[in-house]
Amino acid sequence: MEGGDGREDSSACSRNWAMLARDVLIVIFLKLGTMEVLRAAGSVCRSWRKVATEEPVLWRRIRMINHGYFGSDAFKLVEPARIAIDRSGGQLEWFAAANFADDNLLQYLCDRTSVLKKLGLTSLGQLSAAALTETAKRQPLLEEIQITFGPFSKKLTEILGTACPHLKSFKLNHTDIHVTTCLHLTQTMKRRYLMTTRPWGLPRACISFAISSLLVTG
Amino acid sequence: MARSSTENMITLMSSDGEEFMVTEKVARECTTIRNMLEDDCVITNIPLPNVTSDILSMVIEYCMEHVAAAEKAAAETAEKGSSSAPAAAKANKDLEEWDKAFMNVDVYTLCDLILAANYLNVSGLLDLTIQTAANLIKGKSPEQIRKTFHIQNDLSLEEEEKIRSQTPWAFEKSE
Repeated sequence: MEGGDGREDSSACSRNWAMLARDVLIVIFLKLGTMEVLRAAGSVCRSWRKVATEEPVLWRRIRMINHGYFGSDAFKLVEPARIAIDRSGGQLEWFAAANFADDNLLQYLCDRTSVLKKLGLTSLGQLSAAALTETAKRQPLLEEIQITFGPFSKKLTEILGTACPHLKSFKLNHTDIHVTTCLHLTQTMKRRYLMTTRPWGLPRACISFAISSLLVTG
Repeated sequence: MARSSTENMITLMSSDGEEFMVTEKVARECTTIRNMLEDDCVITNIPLPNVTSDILSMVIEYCMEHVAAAEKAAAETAEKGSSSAPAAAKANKDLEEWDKAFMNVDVYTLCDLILAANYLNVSGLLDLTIQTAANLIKGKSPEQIRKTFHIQNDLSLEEEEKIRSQTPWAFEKSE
């Protein structure tokens, strides 16, 4: 190596972090998680950049739910998310996003993968039922869906139930699920595992009834 | 223990010609060696041209500690008929502490240990070293990572400019 930090060349061959084998670097990057590779590790040197940008296996599971990045402005995660989706090269299987994922991002995702198995989203109003419907239709391999504060309707749950034949788990974290919706969910999702947490919108007496009827398995 | 005296011994030879006698059980912690032994059960001398003596001695130290811990746990289970949960939890914690102390190495040694663990296929040691490396990377800027691992920035000014224009957010602080 030219220049360098004054270390001997002999040690530079075997103990050089820039020369780590591709497969080893992939395992390290997988431990780091989506944002760390996007933000820093992928810009360290050429060989690290090559692994970060050219290995779709690194981006099969995109998890961006850490609010620590970019302070409180979660929407700054939209652009990084698009890059991560691009890098997955059509192999994206898991996608979990905090409250920045909007209809456009879901469309972007659906245009670039059709093998999604797990989807986790939080909606503070930026996600529409139409976009979720479209996603369910375009991702027939979906096995797990978790939605927090999303838009709910009978129609949406029906579509989710029928468009995704492999659905094993459907989690709703919502403050306002009504008994009728709960019952409707159980009917639509027969033989599927359904869970809802803290349906505060229900009168107290109804809660246990609703939850027990929602925990349909087998 | 009487049993260990009758146990097969294997000689591992490092790239710089140093020989290490270990029990077969310890050698088998390395999946690469285990596969060699299963292919050829009379083999007793294994050259490891990719591992230096200082790193090989560390790998052996790790394997011996983990074999000893597993044997101790098995002996306690046999003695009492069932393993006691608090004792097992304490043993686990002790081994974790030992692993943590074992990882108190410089980044060059860590790099060599990763390569050796990968080559010899010692899954526990590979997990441990990879996690240690990941922990050293987390939360740092590209420049801080280069400093930590003594990596030279070989990206050209044009390449850096390109990264900066494509991903301006990558250069914002994470804190």
